[in-house]
Amino acid sequence: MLSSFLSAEFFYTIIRVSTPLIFAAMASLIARKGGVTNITIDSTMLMSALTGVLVSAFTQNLPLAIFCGLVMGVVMGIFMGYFHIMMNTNLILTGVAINTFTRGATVMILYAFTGDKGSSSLVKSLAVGNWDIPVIKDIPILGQIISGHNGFTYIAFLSVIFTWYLMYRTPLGLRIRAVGENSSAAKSVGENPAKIKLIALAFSGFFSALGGMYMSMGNMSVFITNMTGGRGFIGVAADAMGRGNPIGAMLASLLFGTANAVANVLQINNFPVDMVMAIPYVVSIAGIIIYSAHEQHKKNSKIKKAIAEAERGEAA
Amino acid sequence: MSNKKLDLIFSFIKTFLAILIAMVVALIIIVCISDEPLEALHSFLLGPFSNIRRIGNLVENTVPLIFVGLGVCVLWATGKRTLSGEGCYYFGGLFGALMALKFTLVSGKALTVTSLVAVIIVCGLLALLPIIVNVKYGADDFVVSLLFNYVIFYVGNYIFSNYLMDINSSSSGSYLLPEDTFFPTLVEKTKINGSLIVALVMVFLTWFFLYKTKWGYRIRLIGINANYAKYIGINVLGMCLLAQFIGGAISGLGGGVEMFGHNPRFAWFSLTNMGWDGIMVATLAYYKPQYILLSALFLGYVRTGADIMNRTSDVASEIVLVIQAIMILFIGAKAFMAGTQQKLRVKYSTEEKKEA
Amino acid sequence: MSTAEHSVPAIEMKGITKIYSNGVVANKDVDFSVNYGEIHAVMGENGAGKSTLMKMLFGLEKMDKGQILFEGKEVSINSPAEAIALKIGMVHQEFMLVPSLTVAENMVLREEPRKGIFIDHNKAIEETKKISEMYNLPIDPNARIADLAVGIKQRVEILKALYRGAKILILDEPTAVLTPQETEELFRQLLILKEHGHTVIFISHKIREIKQICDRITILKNGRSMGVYQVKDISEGDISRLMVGHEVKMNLDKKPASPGKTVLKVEHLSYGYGEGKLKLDDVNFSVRKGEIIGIAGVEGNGQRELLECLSGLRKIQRGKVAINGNDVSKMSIYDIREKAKTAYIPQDRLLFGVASGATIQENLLANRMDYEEFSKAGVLKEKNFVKTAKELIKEFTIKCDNEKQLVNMLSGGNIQKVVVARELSMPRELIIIDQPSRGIDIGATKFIHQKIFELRDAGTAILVNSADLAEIRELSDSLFVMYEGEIVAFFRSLDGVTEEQLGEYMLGIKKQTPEEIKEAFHE
Repeated sequence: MLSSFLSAEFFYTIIRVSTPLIFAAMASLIARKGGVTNITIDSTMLMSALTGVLVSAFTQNLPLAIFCGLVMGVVMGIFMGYFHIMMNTNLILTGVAINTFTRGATVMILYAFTGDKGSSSLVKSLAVGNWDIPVIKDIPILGQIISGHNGFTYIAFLSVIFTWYLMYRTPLGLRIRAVGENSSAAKSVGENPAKIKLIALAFSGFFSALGGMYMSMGNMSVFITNMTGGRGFIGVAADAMGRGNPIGAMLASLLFGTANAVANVLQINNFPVDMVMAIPYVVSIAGIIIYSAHEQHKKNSKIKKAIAEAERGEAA
Repeated sequence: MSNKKLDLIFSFIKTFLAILIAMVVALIIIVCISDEPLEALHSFLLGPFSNIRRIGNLVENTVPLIFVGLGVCVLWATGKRTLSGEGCYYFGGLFGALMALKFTLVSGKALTVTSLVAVIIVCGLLALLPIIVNVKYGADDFVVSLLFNYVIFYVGNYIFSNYLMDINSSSSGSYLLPEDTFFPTLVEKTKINGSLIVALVMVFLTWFFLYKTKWGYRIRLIGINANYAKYIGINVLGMCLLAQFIGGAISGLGGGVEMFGHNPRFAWFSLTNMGWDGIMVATLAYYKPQYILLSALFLGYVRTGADIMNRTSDVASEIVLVIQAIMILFIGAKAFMAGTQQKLRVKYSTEEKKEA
Repeated sequence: MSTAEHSVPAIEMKGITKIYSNGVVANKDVDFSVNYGEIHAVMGENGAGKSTLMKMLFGLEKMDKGQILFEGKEVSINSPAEAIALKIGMVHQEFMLVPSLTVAENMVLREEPRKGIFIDHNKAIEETKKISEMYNLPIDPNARIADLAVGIKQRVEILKALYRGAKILILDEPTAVLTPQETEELFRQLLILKEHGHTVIFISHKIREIKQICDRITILKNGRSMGVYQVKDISEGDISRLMVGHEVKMNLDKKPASPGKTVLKVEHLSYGYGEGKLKLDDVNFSVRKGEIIGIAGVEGNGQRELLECLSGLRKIQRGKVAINGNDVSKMSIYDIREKAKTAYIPQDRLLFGVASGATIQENLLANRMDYEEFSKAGVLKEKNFVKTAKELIKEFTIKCDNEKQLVNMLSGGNIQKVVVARELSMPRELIIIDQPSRGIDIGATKFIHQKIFELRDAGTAILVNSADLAEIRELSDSLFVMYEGEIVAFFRSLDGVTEEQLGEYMLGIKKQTPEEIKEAFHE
């Protein structure tokens, strides 16, 4: 079993299962920088995953399907923003409503188009394939780990870079950060915080959509009811651990992905399925705890150190 | 007219309009996707009252909603927004079944009572974990409790599949639950049983706890202004834990009594989503236990109607969830109708000044 | 540019009415106008509607009735963006700056110079330098806002408005947070702006400052305008009368104190480690039975932290605080209140003092529900609740419909009375009061002061903090002055001590000898 953990295949799996988490983490990050904790990422992933599958199944046009999935993501982001920001609905209530809506709408739509409530396997949908990276694919081990991934996986890593530049180098990023940190400040210079938050949520929906479509049109080529299994929420957890830094959020996503990959290996090796399935969630919660505990400890020891220094100074 | 009265009237109008909008949207969807819209509508709106068995279904659907609704009233009373009701309801059902099948020291109705007491304690304790993480480490209450629900489910499912699953039965689920532990039937030819009485008693107890005891009073003050609660000397952490324990216990009890209703077997293969529905019921009742019965009945009605429509027509019962979502959005929307309210306020205020 | 060039006023507001969603009438039929090149004061007590009126001018609040004329033409200002387009700028009481961003980033926010799709950071820095030199207001464009002193942050705010081309600058109580030196510097800057032909609208309730710098004055009272006057033609007494309706006179009958044993002992208390600068630095003092110890100082010199340490809201980091011999650091807030018998009236009423969404009754009795009179086995005794609430409402003359009314429907003065009624109606050994009369009317202030004296005469130890020098002199038997987290002066008696003298200590110009300061700690 140890050999399974050391194989190139294991690391390949980490990257594969981390992909939707990275998208979700970026989606969460942009929204949170704008001052909104987006708890509709999971729902948005599902809606886009379904949209992509159905459009591709009925038009057999992959680019069009991806486009429609992305539009759905942006619409979901704005929809959430509209109720939370414009209609002043409590954030959690908005989230609950949209999650409930998605639970119903995905099944209703799936049922209306395919006659099945469980999955889209009755219709034939398209998927993005795996891409080999020239040159790198021939390097032993490294090639096996980072080449041959699904197209969405590479986009996920590019989106981390994109998010960083967006946040720290563009006027829009500056405005999103200003609105999120002190929205009255942005308002006082004539900025419309509601507009900026809506834009941030639209971006958030966009990345959620990519994460969702990876699941139904990349990793698999079928939509299954509730197929995200809370990955959108794990993304929010990853972003919380990354404390607003895209790179940090990506690393946290990879950590949670590793937990997932470990669970996969254990499952193959006849560990109890249910216990193994719980691992990624336990690791996510543990990750949040360890991180926050560490932050608190840092703060406390800073205070203690300052007090000790002061005492030494007085003794001298 | 005083501002308080105005607020109250507007709460009612808002709720009514939210329900109306949601129902209209539902009707439009039905008309659009159904080949026989009139029949679908008929079974959706009138189906639940068409015979005694269906009225029984309506009550049967309402009872668990009462529990989870009450659970959210307490879980959210301190201002913490946890989804612990979901995990607790599931585990309450599982643990109730486990007790009924594996606890052999007592039997019959004594087993029922013992099991439910155990469920209350276990589920109360389960609900504490997310809030400890939240208060101690500052992690987001909603996200942590949601992730924790998955852990509860997989652990529960492990217990289910390894200890309770009846592999020899054709209908998948646990071994048959002992019938002598079931609540007595209240109305012949229906599944209406003693769990309804338990639910009604819980409505009263929850109201009494929140509004008539010093602990409930403290919990509510924390919800209104946590800084103030701390300043006045309330043990904020302790009260938050108490609220989570009681809210989790009530939700868990809801799952537990389901097992002693007339379900022959435990057969939950996933989380039940009842925690989310609890938020819906509680929101519709403005988080006041005294209104929970009404909002649970309404949702139970919509749900029963949708089930009947699902069976008798081509519209999926999941339309209920869309209706729920729309209602939560409009009831929760503070800006919804706020303009009208403000105009009236200005008007009354001006009139009062003139009189004075 | 002279005023003669503009025959019409720069801004005119006519018949403005604003009612908040909680039913409070903030402005009622207010007329207001300013010209170019003048410094115009808007005066009134706290809650008179000054800030609300200006927020409507800046598009932050919507008016319910009335019109705004800009250079004679009617305009509607629905957002700050529209106000900025009309060359109106506003410097708020709480600074509208993003702490984690640099000065330059704050300056250019929403008007960012670009290089392609990216921000041109170098240009942003250049532009900041340029405007700061033009108006002679020096600033470091690369400094992070979080690291700047208050006076400098305010300067950034003014520059921010000027960068956006503001000709009319609204300053909302700009001196409230400034030291006297910073105030002088601000006034110098405002006169420069006036020379440039800018209009300054100066919101304040400090009469002297207005006499010093303003040309005209509009006085508000209870949301209504009391008229517009030339500052040079109106006396301080007249202004005060128009603001409050009668001369501010608070000669209460105050008997000499007869202190008893020590109740509160604070020894070597320090706070704020790990935050760069200490908020409290080796504070020592004591309070005895039957005396009122006052704390004077410009706000933000550690007073708030001190009182929050004493009441248990903040954890004591170093030093010792004892109330009747009980170590405060070992007690919960509940124990400090109930075992050590301490009452605490916080300065931020709405944040700490009340749960505004709860009823008056629930607020009045929140601190005594464990008493036998009010609960048995955890179940509340509703009858006694109502009875006691009714009594307190009567005793403390709280104006309300009944005890079931929500607190957020009350005026500021009545909310403060709810807090005072709750805190001062039980037998206490020590009472800590932070800003007893902030934002409330004269009548309520008088009532509260009277109550404080009564309790002192009954033998309670009382510690009061107030930023209002007149008030603290009025209340205190003895007084110490705080500056930058330290006690810099202690006066056993206030006889013969002038405000000017206190002012010198408050501003850190003077400091007593350690021996004199030690007097504050009474063994």
